[in-house]
Parts: sequence; C-alpha cells; structure tokens
Amino acid sequence: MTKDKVSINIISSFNHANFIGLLKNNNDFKWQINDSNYNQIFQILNDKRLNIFKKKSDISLIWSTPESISPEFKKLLNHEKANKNLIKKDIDFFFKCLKNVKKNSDIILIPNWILREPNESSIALSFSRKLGIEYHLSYMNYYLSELINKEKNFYLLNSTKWLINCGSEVTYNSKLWYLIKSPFSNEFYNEAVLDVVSIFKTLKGLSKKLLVLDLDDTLWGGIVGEVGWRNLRIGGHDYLGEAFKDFQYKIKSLKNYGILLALCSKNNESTALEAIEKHPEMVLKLDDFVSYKINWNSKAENILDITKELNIGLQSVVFLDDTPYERAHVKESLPEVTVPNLPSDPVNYSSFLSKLRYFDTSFISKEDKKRADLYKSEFKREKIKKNLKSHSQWLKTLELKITIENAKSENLPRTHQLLNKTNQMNLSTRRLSEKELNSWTNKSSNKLWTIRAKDKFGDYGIIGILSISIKNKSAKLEDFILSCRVVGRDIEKVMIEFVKDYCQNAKIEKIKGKYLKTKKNVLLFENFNKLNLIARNKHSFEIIANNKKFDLSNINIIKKI
Amino acid sequence: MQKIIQNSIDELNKILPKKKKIKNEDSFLLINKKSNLDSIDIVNLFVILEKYLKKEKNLNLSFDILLKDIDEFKTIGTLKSYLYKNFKNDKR
Repeated sequence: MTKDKVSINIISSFNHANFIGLLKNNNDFKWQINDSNYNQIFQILNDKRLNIFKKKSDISLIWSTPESISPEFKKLLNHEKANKNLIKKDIDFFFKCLKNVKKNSDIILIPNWILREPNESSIALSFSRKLGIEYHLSYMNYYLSELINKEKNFYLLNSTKWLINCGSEVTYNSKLWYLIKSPFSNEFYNEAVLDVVSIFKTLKGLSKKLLVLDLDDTLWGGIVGEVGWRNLRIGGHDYLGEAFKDFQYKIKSLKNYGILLALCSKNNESTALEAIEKHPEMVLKLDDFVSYKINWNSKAENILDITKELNIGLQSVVFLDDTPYERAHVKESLPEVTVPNLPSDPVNYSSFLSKLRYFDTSFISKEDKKRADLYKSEFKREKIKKNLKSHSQWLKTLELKITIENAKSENLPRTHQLLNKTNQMNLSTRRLSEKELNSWTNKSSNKLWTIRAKDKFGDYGIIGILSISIKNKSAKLEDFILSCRVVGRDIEKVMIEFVKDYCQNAKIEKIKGKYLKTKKNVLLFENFNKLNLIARNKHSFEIIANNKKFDLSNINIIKKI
Repeated sequence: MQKIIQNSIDELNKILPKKKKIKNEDSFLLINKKSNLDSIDIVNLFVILEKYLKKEKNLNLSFDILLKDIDEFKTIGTLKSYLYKNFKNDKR
C-alpha cells in the first residue's frame, strides 16, 4: 500500500538526528524531512532565503530548550537571579520569530520546554520567585501556551508527558549530549514521534471513531454468565472493582469527545443487558452504546455488522478485549481494525487507555458531543424506512428540514472539521487549515455555504459544505461535502438545486467541476451519477443550470443567504 | 552476550535508514572506510551497547576505553570478539 507523503520542517536547538531517524522509520506516512542545522533557531526563523521558506510543508516542528530561547532563564541554571519580565520578553521575541513559518506550514508544532538535564540541585528553591528553575520554567510554558492559543495552527506538544512516560533515568542521556549534542534518549524521541504522528492524523481526520468493547473481564471483573451480575467486580471496596470502574469512566470520557462506543461480547444477551442495567456501580449505561452485539457469533462477524450498521469504515475501529484468542481472531479476520493488546492486569487498563493515541482530537464540536445520540436517532429512521413502501414516503415521514446558509465565523471550526474529516462524500478532498479556509471564504469571488439538517427525530447539525469559485461568469464547484450519515436523503439533490438556482440568479452561465477520485470517495461518485450532471470527460463535469429540477417537495428548504 | 548484541543492533536499526541497517553478521562493516555508518551511528551503537550491558549484566563499558581500542571495531565480528574478550565470564 502506498503511504501518504507528509513534509516536515525540523528546527531545533539540539542535535535531532536520532529523532529524524525514528520518524523516517515510522510506517504511518512517507516522511519528507526538511532538516536544518541545530542550535540556530533564531537565525533560521529569520532567514527567508532558506529552503524551509521556499516550499510549503505540512508540518513545522520547532523544538528548543528553554535556555536556548531565553538568556535570562539561563542565568537560573547558574543559580543567578532572573527577571521574569525579561524572560517574558525573550518568549515574545521567540513567538514573533515563530510566526515567520506560519505561512509556510499547515501545522506548527512546538514541544513545551523541559530541562536539558535533570535538575535536582535545590529542592527548597525549585519554586522560588527569584531563583526557582521550576517556577520560571512553569511560567515560560504557561506564557507560551497563552500565546499559542491565540494562533489557529499552532500546537504545543506535551513533552513533559514524554518525560513521565519514559522516566527521568531513561529520558536523559548525558553521554549522547556530550558526544553528539543530543540530550534525550531514543525512547524519549520515540514518544515524540508517536505524538507528531498522532496529532497529524487527528488534524487530517484520521483518528479512530468507534471503540468496540468486550464485557467480561474487560468492562467488569468476572464472567457474568457464571457469577451473576450481583457478583461482578465493579467499584465497591475492592481494588480490582475500582480499577474496572475507573476504566469505565475513562471510556465514558471518550464518548464525550465524540467517540462512538459499541459492545461485542460472547454472552447471553439478556444476562449481559441485565448486568448493565441493574449493577449499581456501572458507569457506562446501555444508552452510551450506539450498538451492541451480544451473542455467540464470531466477534469479527459482529464487528463487521456494527460497522455496516453505523456506516463506518473498519479502519476507524479500535477493539478492546481481554482474551488474547479473540484479539488474534479479530486481527486476522479484520486486519484494518486496530486491536491493541490490553494489559493482562486490569489495574493497568485505565492508564493503558490514556496512553493510546488513537482517539486524539483538536476540536470538539457540538456534533461530536451528541454523536452517539445522532446515531441512535438514525436507527429510529431506518426502522421506519423498513416499514414504508417508497423512499419519498419515508422522506415525507421524516419531516426533513434543510437550512443552507452563508459561511459564518461561528461555524468555521465545524466547517473546517467537515472539510478535513469527510472522506467518503467529498468531491475534491481538498484539505485546508482553518486560516486558509477563512481567507479562501473571504475572497469575494468565492462562495461557501454550510448545510444544516433537522428532522422529527433530531437535529443533525451542520452536515455539509458547498462551495464555488466564480470567474468570468463561470462557476467552479470546489467543495461538495456531505456527512455519510445523511447520504440517500435527497440532501445532495437539494445542494445541486441550490447551486443551480444561485448561479441562475447571479447570471452565471456555466457551472463546472472536477472529479478527484481517491481511495475513499467512491460513495461520492456513486451518488453524483444520480444528479443529472453532464460528464465532460473522466475527470470533469458540467452542471446545466436550467436543467429539469428534482422534485424536492418532501423537504422543507430554508435559505439564509 | 548474543542477546545484548542483537538487542543493540535492533535498537540502532530503529533510527537507521534502510540502506544503513546493520546485519548481525561477523563481516558487517562498522568502523571502516567502506562502512555506510557515520560517526553519529557509531556513537549511538556504543551508547546502546553500554545501556544493555549495564541493564542485562551490570557491566560497565567505558567510552574512553572503547575509543582507545577503536581498531577493534572494524566489523560486527571484531566487536563481538572484543566484548567476549573483555567480559570473559560471559559464555558465547
């Protein structure tokens, strides 16, 4: 399988060759690294003749030690007093320089500052206002994060977490520092690589969407069919029960991030459901799961059914099960599903889940928070569909209401999320940063609309984007994006009719578009063929504005433009 | 000792590009004009070896001594001989 290319600029105050080596050997992407000499951060950030400023990259990683950025901070390392205001000025200057790479990179990653070597010189003075290294380091990180939070494409990476994960003994390697000016160990750099990969996947919409869970000895201690629900170990004055309860809390927090939860367990359904509903210490309720398959079928078969039900690709699924046999079976039968090895001791489940980098998110939209509810409403809709004879009858029953409105600043994060996360129903699969999207939308020749849907079962929120660019009385369809949850509900027809109407009113004669087929947007092409477009060739099409209109009388369409 | 050498090679290979990956073969060139490895790779190899010797056998490998005996590290084979010779208690 060909891997996607990702270009990354690396600028650091120390020798990062080992980090590069590990990154290049990472199998998730094909890394194109634009390296620069180390310990020249300010020179590099201010020299626009350099290669990093000539070509746009996906990522810029700027990794520094605190003393390389702030000479005032360096005084503290020699036990001299430091002036916090001067440290602040040093950071302001650093941040000003950082902004120079803004235009040349989609994402700017900055690991937070940690010391180059462990500091254990004075316990009493660590947090002293005048001499405290930790005090000033905390301030530096706090102040930098405040600045970074004001910028859309800047992300502070938590290198303190890498240090904690590795431990101080493993993180620091004085020999590597004195010999090659590389302060950290490969274990530490590996943590950094995993986070860089993870944040890139998150921002490109490649993080996992569904967590499928086993029950016995995974969500609770014991086998419910053998011990009965009253004797399961969850919560209570029991160390293992507490561990299972904490694990459930952690899983519940993922649901609040917008991760869908499902159950897949070999049990009698009634026995397992009784346990979920009746055990007083259960944190996860049946309502938290968008689907459950509790039976004696193969787990791979059940997972496949769940993904079909939810219209989710197998590559978006993580499966957690305590039994090595079940994990191996799912791994072998469904290689696209991610199956991490749950620790053998349940007391480690919760911390294990925290360390998994599959469910990262950069933004939580309203839609994310209520995603599980949205899927449940979907089941109700499908249930009605089965009992009705025609598609149009079903649409009428739904009382579908579509609102098309101009792009608004308050909708920008969700629009950006849809643009970057939608794969299946996406015409061009162009990916833009929030800043790029904002500036594209602000051009008078470009028009971008968001599509919101609601029916009697609930509010879907913003589920689509439509955009055109206009030049010489001709429009180009740039984005035609629809959440796959609502495909087949004639919303795509509403979108095409809207474009036709808009262009007719604006006296635009031609509406053209280009197909950009990817591995994942086959669904778009299947549906596009039903929209009366005129295919010009394999890669382009035309929409005839005054073509016969689709009958959309079953849908209430509101235009706010 | 075999395990220590293999673990060290495996760990170093994680940061080496495909073309430079070390094979656990006696004739594989380390410090030699024709070797694909550069000085940073050799430093990394020694640091990793030192780590595993300490971890697995509680043995200390001084970098200064290694530098003095640099001629003994032309190949994986000579490196192995050096380690066996200097840590005699460990059977091959």
